[in-house]
Amino acid sequence: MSKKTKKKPITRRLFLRGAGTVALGLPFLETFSRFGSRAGAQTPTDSFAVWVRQGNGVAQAGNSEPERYWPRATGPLTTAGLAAESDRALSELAPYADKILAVAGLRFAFPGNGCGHSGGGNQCLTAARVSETPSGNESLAMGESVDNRIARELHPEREPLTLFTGRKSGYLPEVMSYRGPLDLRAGENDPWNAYMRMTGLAGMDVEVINRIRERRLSVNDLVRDQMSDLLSGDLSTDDRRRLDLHFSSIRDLEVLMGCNLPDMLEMEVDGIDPLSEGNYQRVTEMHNEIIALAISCGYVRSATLQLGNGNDGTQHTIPGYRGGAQLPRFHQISHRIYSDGSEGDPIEGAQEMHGEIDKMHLRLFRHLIDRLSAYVADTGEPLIDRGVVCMTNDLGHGISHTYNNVPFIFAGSCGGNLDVGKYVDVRGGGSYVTHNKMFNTILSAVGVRKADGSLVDDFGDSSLEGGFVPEMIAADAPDF
Amino acid sequence: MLRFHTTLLAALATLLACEGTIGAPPTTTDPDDPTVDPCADGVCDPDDAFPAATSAYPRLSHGQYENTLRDLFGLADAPGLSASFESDPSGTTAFDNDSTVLQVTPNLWADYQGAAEAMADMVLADAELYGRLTDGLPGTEPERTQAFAERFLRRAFRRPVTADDVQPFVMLATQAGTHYPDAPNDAARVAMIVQAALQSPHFLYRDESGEADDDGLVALNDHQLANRLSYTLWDSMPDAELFRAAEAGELTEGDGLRTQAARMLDDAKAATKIRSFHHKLFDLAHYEDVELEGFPADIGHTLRAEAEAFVDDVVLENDGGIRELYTAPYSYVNEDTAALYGVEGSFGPELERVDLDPSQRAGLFTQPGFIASHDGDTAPIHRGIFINLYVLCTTLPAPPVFDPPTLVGETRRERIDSITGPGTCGATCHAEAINPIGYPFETFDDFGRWRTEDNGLPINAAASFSFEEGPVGFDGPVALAEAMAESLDAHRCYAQNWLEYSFGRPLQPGDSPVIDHIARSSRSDDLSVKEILVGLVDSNLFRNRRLQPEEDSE
Repeated sequence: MSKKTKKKPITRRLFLRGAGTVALGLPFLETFSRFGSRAGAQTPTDSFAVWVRQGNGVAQAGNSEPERYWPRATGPLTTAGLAAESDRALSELAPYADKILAVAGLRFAFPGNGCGHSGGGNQCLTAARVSETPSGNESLAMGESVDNRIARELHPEREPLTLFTGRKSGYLPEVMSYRGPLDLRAGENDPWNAYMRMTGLAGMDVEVINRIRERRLSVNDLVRDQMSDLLSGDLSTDDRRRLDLHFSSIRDLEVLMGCNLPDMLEMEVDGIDPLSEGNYQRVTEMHNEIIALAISCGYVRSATLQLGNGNDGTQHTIPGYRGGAQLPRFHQISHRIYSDGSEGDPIEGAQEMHGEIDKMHLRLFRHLIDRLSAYVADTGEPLIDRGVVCMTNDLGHGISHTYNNVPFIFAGSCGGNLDVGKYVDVRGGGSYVTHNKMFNTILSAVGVRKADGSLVDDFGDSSLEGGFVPEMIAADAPDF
Repeated sequence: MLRFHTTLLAALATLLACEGTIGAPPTTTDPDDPTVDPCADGVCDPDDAFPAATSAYPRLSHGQYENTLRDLFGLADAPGLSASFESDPSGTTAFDNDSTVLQVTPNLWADYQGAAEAMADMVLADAELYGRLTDGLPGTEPERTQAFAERFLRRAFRRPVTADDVQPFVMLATQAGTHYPDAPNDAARVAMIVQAALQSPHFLYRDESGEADDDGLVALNDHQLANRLSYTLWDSMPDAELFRAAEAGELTEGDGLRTQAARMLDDAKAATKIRSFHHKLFDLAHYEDVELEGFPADIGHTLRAEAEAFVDDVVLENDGGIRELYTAPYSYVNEDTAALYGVEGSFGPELERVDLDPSQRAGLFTQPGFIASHDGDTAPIHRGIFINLYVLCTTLPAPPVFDPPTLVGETRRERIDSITGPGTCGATCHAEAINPIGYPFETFDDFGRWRTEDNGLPINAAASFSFEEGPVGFDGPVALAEAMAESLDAHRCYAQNWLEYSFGRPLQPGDSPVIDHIARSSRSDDLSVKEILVGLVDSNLFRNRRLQPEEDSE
């Protein structure tokens, strides 16, 4: 049966205000910008979720190694308490102790298929099985990722922002964001490209923008007609899916007026080499800026940021650590030997290095919290409190490549739904909990609902036991 | 491109023993079932091949998009607009053009839109380009715009255009004065048509739609064949001669397709594609990462240049095939790399062809680039896996993931054998497939220099591999290279990879008869790469496509 797609009426309205924005008398100028971009300007109350992934596991206890990641004791987190544990990576989040929910005891439910990193990355945000074909490092997830679900349900006019720090290896590049089974979304590793897609025309003269808009409307009408003709023909299921995606991707002019980075930062983003290992941390900070800007402007409500390749081999340089010397490849550090396999000369102090790399990544995560805290929602709260950001991993531990105790570190309460300010081990002395229940909790906290309006309790593979992680839910959560 | 990269091993998984059986050939054959291998019953006739079920609208890859812009506008070089495009997801082939995963996402749509506008701006700004595009058009309107639209769209869509195709563009051009108030009217109209055409699905996709026969086969028409041919051999649009042949109906008759293929393979655009194939299949970019203590920092670049010069020499200058690629006892060295081969003489910075010791060197895989880019204590495994996957097309089941056992032994071979050899849980994949291919290269150190000892003990480079036609023993890398060049496995694998790259899709069961025919001819007659490509093109796999499942109707 053929599908004729109707043109969507333009319903978004001009809404320009905020710092640096001129209220223009252009009622026809379509924009997604609802709020100003500068810190302190009014921002939306809509909830959001951002997922950041570090690779190669963390330096937590295991394989006869000491604990360098988690706090010493579960329970309430305080700034002073976290700061006092400087030998633990999570101490880096001390300034935001009251906003942190550190969840231990979660596991991925399914085995990988020939590649621990690929299998972990594929499950990381999907709670789905790993594909039988393709396999190994080419394996893919057999389900939709949580960022896609949030975007699809809460902000269907735009796909989630999907960012990536570093050079993509041919072996295992992006692993996080899936439109659906086997449909992996590419990650953008150049912050300038991401920024331009969001704000590309915003700096132009209004008259020019209007001219471009009119031109694009005309061209888009022509192209939509051609696409409709193709879609009206006999098509395979796969071709129809692809052409439907193409048709729905045709957008009229989107000018995010008033949403832009400060000039100096914009120039820096424009000039940085995103593929240089030496720029890893700065590029990540730029991605953080773009994520915060995008959320504050209502451009997206869902984003991912993958730090490094699927099995991140970045040679990090950490200011102040080992004299600023470049460290061995992170993947090899996670194995504790100068090898990507299991045999090689030992890397002296590898677990300590791994712990320092964990800290560096958590500082970058803290920077994201900083940026989201700098925007104020129209409820008067810092924007971070309206949504949630999560730092996670493709593995629990680098040596064993275990899928147990994969860290999920959250900041932000989703408007009071999450029980922040504590470190919890959801095993409670028992078994690891499959992380699909964590996704159900977050999806429901963010505002996603099932078709019948009830809370989401069935995300991920259908074979998994549904439900929530009660320890994550605030006692007075408004949505639970 | 997502592919196996041995320096970035999947940690323990790829090192550790794997289980299951090697290879997974179908065991039944059913002439009415396109999902089974027609050769599975042991009888393999090229006429039994059945075309793959493929998309009716395969999207241009980013490389094809660039090349098409270059040729559509008559530019000297590709404009490079796709450099900032959203990257495409990886497919299941070793290449970056698997059409089964190419789609237009919101980000890519925006990228296409921006690139189309940039090309339109280029036309407005470049008088020479504008003159070339509008040369010979009528001087007055509306004939001028009509003529330009017909001529440009025919080339952009790479097929004859109808009045229904053209009319919307002519109508669009009438608004050009509003959209480009600062440009002359004629130029504004051209710019409008250009930017709209480059966003059209008829530009971004190849059209392989058509009526199927009772067996579900769609016979491609002349223009569809012309497009398939030019993107297969050139990764770009048809040239004027191919358009002419298509319009004359020559591609669906007689030897027309073969004649055009032979002509096109002599073009520089085919050489580029052939180079690109070997570059990607053998992962030559990975050689750039090689660092050798005591050698210049750019030694990796030199090793890559050596491999590329060798491939050019064999394949393009001497019309060689895989026997030469895998066994030729010569290479290219310069002042930095001559010592790696123990070659004496005076060399400068330029690479020079030299004959090598045929008892030590044979073809691409005995070059330092391959050896040094798969180095370290687990190098035999890395080298073995690479050659199994990309040279012999061995199906290796996924390895299990578990904690690493302790390795024991004096030599590297002993240590690897201690966890993967006979009697261990790795006896299937490692002992039978991976290690036998990796161990012969133990005659090289990690710089690619010849050696006779490991840790003071004699090198044991002898092994045996079960090729398709039976086990073959060899001692050292030269004997291994000879065995591979003589194996049907290697010839079949090379042809399979060419099919996946040139057709832009994964291998399917129905391809087997054609692949088998080419592989046997390649082995017996030393087919050149160009002859292999003609063999692929001159088959019913190329002339038809099969409907995909659930290809529905009104």
